[in-house]
Amino acid sequence: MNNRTIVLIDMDAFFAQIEQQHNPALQGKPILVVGGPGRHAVVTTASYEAKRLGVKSAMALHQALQICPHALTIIGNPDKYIDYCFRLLNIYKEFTDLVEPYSVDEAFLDITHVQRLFGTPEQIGRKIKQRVKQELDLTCSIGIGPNKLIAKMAAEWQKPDGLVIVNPEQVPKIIWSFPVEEMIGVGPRMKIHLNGLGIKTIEDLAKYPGYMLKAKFGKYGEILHQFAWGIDTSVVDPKSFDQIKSVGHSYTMPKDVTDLELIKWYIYWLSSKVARRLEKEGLAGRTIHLSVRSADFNDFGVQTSIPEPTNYPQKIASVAYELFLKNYIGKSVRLLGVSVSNLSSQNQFQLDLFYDKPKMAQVLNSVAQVKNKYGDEIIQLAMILLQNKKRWVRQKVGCFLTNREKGHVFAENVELHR
Amino acid sequence: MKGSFLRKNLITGINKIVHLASSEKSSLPILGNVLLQAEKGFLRFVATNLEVAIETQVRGKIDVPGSFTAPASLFSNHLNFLNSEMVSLEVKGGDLFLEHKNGQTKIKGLPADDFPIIPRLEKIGGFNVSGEEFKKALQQVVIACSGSEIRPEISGILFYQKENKLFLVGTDSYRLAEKSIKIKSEAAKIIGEKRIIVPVKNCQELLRIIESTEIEIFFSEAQILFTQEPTNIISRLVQAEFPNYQEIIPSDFKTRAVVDKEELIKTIRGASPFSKTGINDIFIEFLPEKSKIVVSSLNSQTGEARLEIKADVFGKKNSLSFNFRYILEGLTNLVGNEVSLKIIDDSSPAVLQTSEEKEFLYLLMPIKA
Repeated sequence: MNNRTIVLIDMDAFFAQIEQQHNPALQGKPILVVGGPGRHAVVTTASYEAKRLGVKSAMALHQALQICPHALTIIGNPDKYIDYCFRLLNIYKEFTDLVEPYSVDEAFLDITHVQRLFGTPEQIGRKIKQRVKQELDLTCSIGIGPNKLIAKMAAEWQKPDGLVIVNPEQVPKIIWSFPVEEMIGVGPRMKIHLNGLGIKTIEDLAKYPGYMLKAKFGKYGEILHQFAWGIDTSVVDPKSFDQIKSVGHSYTMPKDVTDLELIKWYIYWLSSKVARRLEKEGLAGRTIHLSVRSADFNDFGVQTSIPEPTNYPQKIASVAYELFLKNYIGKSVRLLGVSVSNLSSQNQFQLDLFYDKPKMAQVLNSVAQVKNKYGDEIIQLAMILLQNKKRWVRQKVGCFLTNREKGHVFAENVELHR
Repeated sequence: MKGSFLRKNLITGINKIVHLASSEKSSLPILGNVLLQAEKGFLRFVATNLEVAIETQVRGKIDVPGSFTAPASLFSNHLNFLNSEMVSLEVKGGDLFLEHKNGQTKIKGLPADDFPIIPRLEKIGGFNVSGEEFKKALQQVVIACSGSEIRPEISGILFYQKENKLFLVGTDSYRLAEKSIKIKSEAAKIIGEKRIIVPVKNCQELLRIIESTEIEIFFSEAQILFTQEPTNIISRLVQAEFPNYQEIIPSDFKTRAVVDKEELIKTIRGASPFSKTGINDIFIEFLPEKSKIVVSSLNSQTGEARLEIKADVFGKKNSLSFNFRYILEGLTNLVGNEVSLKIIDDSSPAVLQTSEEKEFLYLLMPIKA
């Protein structure tokens, strides 16, 4: 555990760089890569030219365009980015087999035991950057530290095209001067909580009594306290991505929605997508999570566990809708998300006294085969398919959901949390 | 309202209802209150959570009849700490005043008019059962009911009558428990063909307060009333159709094992730590030639176990998997030393029963691999 050397490689404005590389006309210009068209589109990546003007990732497109009116908007191409992601991973794997993909554009490498082969951490860092530049013509920022936490934070300090090396003896002082929200694990809400306790910097957090953090935030408080001292014992796990932890879909409405029937429709629609995904992966889950963002950006997420794992669309949808009804306070809804976790493989299931599950499984299996052959829209829940509903959805939200036009489904985010 | 009471009587009264009043933090604050109604010679205590209502009464000397509501747990706690034998209650200017040997107390309450109206049931056409038997039976069947509101038809305990017996049935659709007890009264066709469902939460509340004396049961379209003098419990009924469970109780089995109940419980508990998380599966083999049962489990993280016990096994060699929780809950609820486990195959319902208690039946579904 001691004296590890961990590298985090973070691609600079990954999607934007790829787009610029593919289209020379975009080079040197501020570009905004978005998930899809529509009023509520969100900037997934802004190129450094746009970032310099103040555009941030996850900003609403209209906001970004206010800051940077001459920016070019590009609808992202996830397949292309994933392909690049794999090519990058192959480069990293030439240095060590301990490569953990952390997100589409980030990966951790444990280089503790390969320094005899490739040189000092700095030399390895430079070599990786060089390879990435040569082979894919992309730049990245690298952070190197004694653990994942420090490596990840260090990668942020010099961007773009940076290389920051933190020696173990610099920890934890080197992170202490940063505001607490710069630390991994502290989101906007946690920041508010911590600031409320008078904790403004990471040093404040480190010097706050650990037991009090534990009392207030539970186990998470303990972890944050350790992080503040630069302690992170998690290992670089090459398999962390092999196991799917949850499957979810979310959807940003082109228009805010208050109509319960329509919300129900969306929940069923998202649930059937999640169910399809689970079924493709041969998985079933016990915990169903619903996330809702209202028009005033008030988010809530609720979840519940059912007695046995399921991947039936109706089951997931009815549980998710019930969660919605229990927690909804009547605000207009901007985003809905349904996800299923607590997954297990589907090869064993508790039989039901009143409901012929093997038969249902056969039916669903046949449905899956038809879908595999003719596409996911060929068989759908009646609830989703009802023509009049569909017309009504179009009328109400102004978007089309037919097979032919499904390329226009707006800002649909497909997430596979691993 | 004004009267004086023995403190121990007040405690008896409030103890019956305080759990219900304080169990849920409701959006209606008055549901945390007890409704006190003073009438000639009696003080009545009423509490409700809008699902079930409990009322009981105690004797006392009433000077001025009337009613009032006060926070139930506060009232209960306070009474417990007094050591005066007599306590007098009086409502003055919107507050409840207690006079006792220790001094005085003022409790802020709410007017009785704000309290929800408790439905009245006419006490006609009811029937009697032994409180002791009823309580035991209800305990045996509630364990199989999950009370999930996703499926209202199995969110409660089914009550129905056949011949001179009251049947109670609970299920979560993975297992089912059925118990029948004798109806004492003469009137035979009381419930008739009717099958009524009492929400399982209300049954649990019922279990908390009923005693072993005789219990009278009345019902209407929407409510059921349990009377055990001087206490009445009124529950709403679930408006749904309970599944026709008799149809799925098998009559022909392929294999039957008779085994010592405690031994089987121990063996299953021993194997359970090695079942798969979330599935809780244990595999049971029935070996007639070797006169034994083998319980095994396998978990890639914790290890595996294979445990054998002696058993009289009749019929053909057989095997299947169960959720160990479901089979254990059935076994621990059976009365008797020897249990018979009857199965057909790995995808049909199995039955647990003892020879000592023919009135109790536990049905459970296997896990299909």
